[in-house]
Amino acid sequence: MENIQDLKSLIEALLIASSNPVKPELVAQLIEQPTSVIQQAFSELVEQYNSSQKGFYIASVAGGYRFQVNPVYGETVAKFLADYSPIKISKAALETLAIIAYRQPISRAQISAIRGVNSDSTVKFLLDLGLIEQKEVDPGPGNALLLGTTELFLEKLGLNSISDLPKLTEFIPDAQTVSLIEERINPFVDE
Amino acid sequence: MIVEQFLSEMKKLKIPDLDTLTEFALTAAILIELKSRSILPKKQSLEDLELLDSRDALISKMLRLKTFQNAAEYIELLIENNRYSFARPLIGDLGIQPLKAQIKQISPKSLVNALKGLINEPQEELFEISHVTPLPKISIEQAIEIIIERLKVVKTASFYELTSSLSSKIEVITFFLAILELYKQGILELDQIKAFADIKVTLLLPSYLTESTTS
Repeated sequence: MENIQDLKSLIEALLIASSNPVKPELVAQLIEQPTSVIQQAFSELVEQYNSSQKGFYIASVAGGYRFQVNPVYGETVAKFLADYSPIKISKAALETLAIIAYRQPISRAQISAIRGVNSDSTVKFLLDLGLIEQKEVDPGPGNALLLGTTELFLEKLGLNSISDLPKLTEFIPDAQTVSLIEERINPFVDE
Repeated sequence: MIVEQFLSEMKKLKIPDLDTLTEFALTAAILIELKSRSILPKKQSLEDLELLDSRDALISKMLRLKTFQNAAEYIELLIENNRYSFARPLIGDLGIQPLKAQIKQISPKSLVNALKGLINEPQEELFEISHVTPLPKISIEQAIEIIIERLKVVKTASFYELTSSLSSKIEVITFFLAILELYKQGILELDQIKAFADIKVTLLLPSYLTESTTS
């Protein structure tokens, strides 16, 4: 049984070597220690790193932990990483992404029905980016492909899991917007 | 009235993309349909109910879409906020490439000179072949000669007798191939009692004795 300091150093070593978030359960399996012990070591390490003003910190993301740049220095780091050009995601694609995030697993047809327009191009765009993926096939008629978000999606948003997203009800338009919409669609408006 | 609304919405958009345009066209079409129904002489109240249903359906659809649009804005915000929290990059990650080696100091001229140097260099033995099995000291042709000469004297001999004086496995193999070749040509007769037993080699065609063995 390693002492806690050894364990923390081991975790540090795994963190520096990994581009993807490191999951405590996997570490527990790897070195055959109880997950609770590993989780404790992780927590202590996170506190150690995140309390001091360093160039990087340990982020809790996509169900695991990962060294990430302190965003304060991000702009300069971006210049350092040659060819850094953030992909611009259009409003239409973001809309599709939001629908998939909250309604997954969902088919292209269902997405298009919500948006009122064909969504194939936005779906392809998001697939290419790796933010969404095919999850399963709809068992019902038509065997539509069902889409959902990926781990990369969680990483890019800095979330630990999908349930970390605010409830959809928080985004319902306020009363003012609702009445605006109602007014516009009123068929009995006098000319 | 509807056209006015449509145009004012269109003007608000900075860069209308195809999806948004389509969306508005669809909404405008629904509005026109509803409006035209309202202009037509009213028959029964049932139609009015249907109209209200269409209206409600459209309102709820628009509300639903607006909800997701708000959620989309929030997602955009999260992505933006997280943009600078880089992790160790993977190749092909969202627009981020690892640092590439800078090779600015090489000029076309120096490349040409390097190539010239390569071409003009005297050709030397390029391959180190000491690790390769050494070639047999005896070729198959030579083995054939030796075997024939031997058999001229003794007429028949065993494979073991023919090869007992050889120093390496390669040479034994060469002799074996020579014997097979002679057998193929009909010059030798081969006899083996059972598998892996010694092979009896007999020279055929005594008249052959005076001919050359190499073709």
